[in-house]
Amino acid sequence: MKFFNYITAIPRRGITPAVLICLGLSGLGCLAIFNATFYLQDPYEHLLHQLLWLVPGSALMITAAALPSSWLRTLGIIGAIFFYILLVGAIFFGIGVDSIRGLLSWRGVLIQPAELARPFFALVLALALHHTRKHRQDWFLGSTIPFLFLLIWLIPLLSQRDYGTAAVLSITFSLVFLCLGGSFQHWIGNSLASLPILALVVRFGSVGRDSLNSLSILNQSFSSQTQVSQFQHALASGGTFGQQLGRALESPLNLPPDQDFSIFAALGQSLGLLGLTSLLLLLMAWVVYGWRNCGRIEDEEETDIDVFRPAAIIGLTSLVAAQACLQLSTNLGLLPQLGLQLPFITYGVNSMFSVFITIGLTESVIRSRLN
Amino acid sequence: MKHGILNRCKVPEQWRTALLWLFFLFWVVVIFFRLLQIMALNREEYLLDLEHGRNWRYETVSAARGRLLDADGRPLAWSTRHFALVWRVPSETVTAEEKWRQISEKITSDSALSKGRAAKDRAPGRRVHLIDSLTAEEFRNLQPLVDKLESVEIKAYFQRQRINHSRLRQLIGEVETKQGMEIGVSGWEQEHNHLLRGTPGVLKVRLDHQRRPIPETREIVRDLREGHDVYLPFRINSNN
Repeated sequence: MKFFNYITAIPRRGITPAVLICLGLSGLGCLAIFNATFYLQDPYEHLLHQLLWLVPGSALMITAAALPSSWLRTLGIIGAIFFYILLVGAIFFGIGVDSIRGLLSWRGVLIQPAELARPFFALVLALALHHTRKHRQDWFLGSTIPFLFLLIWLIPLLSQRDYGTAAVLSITFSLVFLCLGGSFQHWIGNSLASLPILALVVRFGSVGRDSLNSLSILNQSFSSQTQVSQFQHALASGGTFGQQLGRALESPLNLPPDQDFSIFAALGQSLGLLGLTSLLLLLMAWVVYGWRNCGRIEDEEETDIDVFRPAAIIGLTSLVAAQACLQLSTNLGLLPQLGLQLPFITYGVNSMFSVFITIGLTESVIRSRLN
Repeated sequence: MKHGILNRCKVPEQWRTALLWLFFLFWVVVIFFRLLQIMALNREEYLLDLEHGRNWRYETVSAARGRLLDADGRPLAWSTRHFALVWRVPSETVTAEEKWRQISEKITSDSALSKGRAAKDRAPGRRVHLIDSLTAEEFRNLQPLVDKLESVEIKAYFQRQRINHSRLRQLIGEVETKQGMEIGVSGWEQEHNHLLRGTPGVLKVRLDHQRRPIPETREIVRDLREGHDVYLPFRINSNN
């Protein structure tokens, strides 16, 4: 009876304002995809494909948002172990697409463990920092152990040349670590100490080719540079107020629809600078939402406060925000290509599921904190 | 509890989370200003560049991979250049029929004719290698066809050859071709890939009103650099 009550309560518990806004953004993403692909022989192919995956993705988000708080820690550990095994397995059994090797193929569906593991990484990180909270100023227990945790995740990612996910996880870790009272000196010291290890992994442990060259903006392949300039041309054609709303004609001339940035470029052409600014404001709204719901992290008088929840909120918020900022930066020519996708706007299943699960888990943690 | 540099700055504990907000605020502001630059301030420059780009097409020229040699300079692995005739089959059947009719008048090879007939019916929208390795005479005869039809091109590619010795072939390893470049994936080919692999050249060519390249307008944007030859520290027995 209790289980039945729980199941029937899922829709009410899971559908929060943030979840509804995310569903709205997903709809906008579908429109953006149609906007960029209407000129193809089958104009509805990409749109229908995205809608098809939106249904299970939305269900995942609502379910994650409805999870009881007592499940989150166990779920985080199980999910992290499961996807970590898949991540390592992808090194040996994975297939390569473009420059990323870490894909598993199952009955025609491409699974990218690196994308799907991100929310669980944030949960386990929060758990690790919670358990070491009393030793925050200790160099070994408070700093080195969490850094080792990060290294364990970065090594298989860099072996597969998934620099984008590695960057997202590093930024997330740094923010959570520093926000929770981690020593800045320890952060600098451990970061510098990690660099040689990571450089060795990239140089000798990579299963891909041309690892180092792809990190340099100057040495990137010509096609990659061309795509970035095409992206910028499509944006420029949008101007301040946008052109050809609903029918982005510039990007189809230059950008293939399966590129992760072409949808955003088409949207930029249609909505203009003002429209894209509203997307940036939404991104900041997400960050502020996470920040405002962190709550109190530490108090000098209370040494046994639960830091799992605020750490999880900061981590999950940072995952989505860092991914979006990195993706935009790479395609505006501010950073080298990292192979990331823009949340909600990009045509891609693994990224969509990962972002939906992240947002759902954030809602669950926030609800548990408020309770 | 005292916490390092932030506490020395007398930052209250609860304001640590402001790091999160400030970090992303700064980043988003940078992104906004970059968008402002592209979409408003320097928009005319980008649009002129786009207009210029429409009339030009960029082509890459693959660089030859270096050779693997023994200490005496005997080749163990080397690349040979070939030219293939490639046809991009039109999606519409009527257009495909018309294009095939023009192509088949110029081709004499039976295998190419049967490949083309099969591709016309079963592979619309796909690229088909009609002839894998053109002879010099075929190259000369087919060049007018390539200039006339946009869907037909002569594509250069490299094929890696290795010495005929099973043990050495294993040690030499394999290469894969990616975006026209040969990349070592195992053995010595992989170990010395950074030396053997060259840098492809880039050309730009102006397009006419029918978006066909005008050969005389080809310009070098970046010179190609061929791969280095690598001498390995052993000598193969000439009796083997």
